[in-house]
Amino acid sequence: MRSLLAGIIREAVIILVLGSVTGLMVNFLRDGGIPLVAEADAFRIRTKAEFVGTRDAWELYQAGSAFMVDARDATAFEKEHIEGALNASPTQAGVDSLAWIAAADPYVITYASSASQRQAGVLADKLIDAGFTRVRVLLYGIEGWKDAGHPIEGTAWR
Amino acid sequence: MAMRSLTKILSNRYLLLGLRLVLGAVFVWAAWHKIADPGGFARDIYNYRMLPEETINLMAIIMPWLELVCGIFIIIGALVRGSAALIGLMLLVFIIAISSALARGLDISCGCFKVGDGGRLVGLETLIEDILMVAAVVVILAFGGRSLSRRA
Repeated sequence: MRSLLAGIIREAVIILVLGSVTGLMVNFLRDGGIPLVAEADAFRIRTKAEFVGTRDAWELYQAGSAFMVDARDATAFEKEHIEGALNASPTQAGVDSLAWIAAADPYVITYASSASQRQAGVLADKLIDAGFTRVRVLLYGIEGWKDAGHPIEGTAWR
Repeated sequence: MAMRSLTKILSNRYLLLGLRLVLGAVFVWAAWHKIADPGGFARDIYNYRMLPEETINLMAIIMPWLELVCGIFIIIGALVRGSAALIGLMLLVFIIAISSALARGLDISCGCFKVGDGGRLVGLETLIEDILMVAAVVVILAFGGRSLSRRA
């Protein structure tokens, strides 16, 4: 039994070394290699818009000063979204669908899920380009909103 | 008697070969997408919010190659026990990560195959797949590690 375990560990170590060395070498040599340690905030989305945390977004939402805009696809939106949110894809058509709120120049808070947070940034940029001046991106997306216990609606919640 | 029949079925060399080929193919396929887009895979790992950010890139660089090497070895029948053990270990990590994401209500890409936006979302289905693969690993380790690497 002990020799069987030793054999498994020996083989696993060989594979570990082989896999690790190959991975590191290929990453070093290839064009699309990534740094061994990510730069600070490398995983956060880049956008021209300012970010808004869940608490501040909640205050704007409660005061009725903000439109929450879900940048995910329609299926994800139908399943669950922030109560009262609009759904707009991060495309020109999505921006056009929000033209009716532009005149009031409200806060527009775009959000997505952590899997698709980039979409919230893209939509925010397009809204700014279209002339919206008070655009924010919800920093922790719908997950942060849910974690804080704020209202959610959709087919998953019926 | 029933135990003996079960042992006989599970030690069938064709069954074990089939399990190895399926498991190996799944891991080679999964590794391929991650190797093609290490940045996207790093983001998928980040989305689980379980690891310090400093360790994510290193994991995104090494893990897919580990999956690939394990997948190839288990298919060709070399270092089968070591490959199966590592695959089992990786699957356990995936199961913990997916369960934790499900418990926290995270609507994230599982990082299983296609990485980044548009990848499969974590769900019970991915969890069950991983559990089934752990069962296959256990069978390979218990009944087929040594013999298959030499004879199959």
